[in-house]
Amino acid sequence: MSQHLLPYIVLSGLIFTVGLVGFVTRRNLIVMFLSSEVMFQAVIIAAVAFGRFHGTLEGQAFVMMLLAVAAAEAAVGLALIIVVFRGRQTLDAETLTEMRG
Amino acid sequence: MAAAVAFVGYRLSRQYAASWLADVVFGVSAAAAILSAVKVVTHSRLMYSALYLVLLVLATAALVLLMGGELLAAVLILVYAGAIIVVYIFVIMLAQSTAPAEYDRYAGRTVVGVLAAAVVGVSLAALPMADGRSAVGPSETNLVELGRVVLIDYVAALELAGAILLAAVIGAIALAAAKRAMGPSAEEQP
Repeated sequence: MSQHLLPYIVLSGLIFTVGLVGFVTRRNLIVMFLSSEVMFQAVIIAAVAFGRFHGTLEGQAFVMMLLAVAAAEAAVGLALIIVVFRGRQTLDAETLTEMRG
Repeated sequence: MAAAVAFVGYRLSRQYAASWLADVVFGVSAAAAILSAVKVVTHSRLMYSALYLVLLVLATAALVLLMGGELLAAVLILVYAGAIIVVYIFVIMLAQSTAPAEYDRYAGRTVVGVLAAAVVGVSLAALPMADGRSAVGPSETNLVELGRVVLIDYVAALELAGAILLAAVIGAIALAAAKRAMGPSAEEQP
């Protein structure tokens, strides 16, 4: 089972779906960011699996770059969360409505 | 716990070249990954969500290890579980307006914790004995090839990723240092 590509891709899809559901349904900003991290894990599994079953190392190299981007995303996103929380003492995403047209 | 079982199983499956053991490792890691992902999304306490994300990262690292990415698994644990999650936990602690401190006043589930630690300890002690060789064996990893791919073939992308990370960290510092740039009280600032 672990010698085939399909179980890894199915697992990656399941984890990505769980993260997507969390991102859409939860209203807490930090939980939304954590859900995006869940989706990152799914992408890591998929990238490494595709690379391995193509017989190349590009998948792992790609995940290295992805880690840097994930760290950058976490830094900027959490700084934004800090600023938002400092301004209005809540983490509810529904209250951020100033830019609604 | 599941991640520890996965790592021990991976070690044994490499040693004895047993494919069914690799299947067991895959099953345990996959189950741990899905369960912890669901817990991250559904748990009502932020801190527990972050800690379940640590478990998800460990399960992902076990899966990557199963696919032959030794360096990448180590980097995942070091960078993700070691650095990124810690930043999340810092922010959760900073942004928790009402701290529900009724948990963690006394040690809960002492027996289970000690038993789990005993399992890990016995495994750690038993593995070198089962090996029978010195700890430093012949290198079977793909470190050299991976280094060639990352540092020669994709060096531009690597430098670009570093530049993005630097810009993001500087931006994060600037954002966090700005005093009440957003929010209802923005017009009160000079």
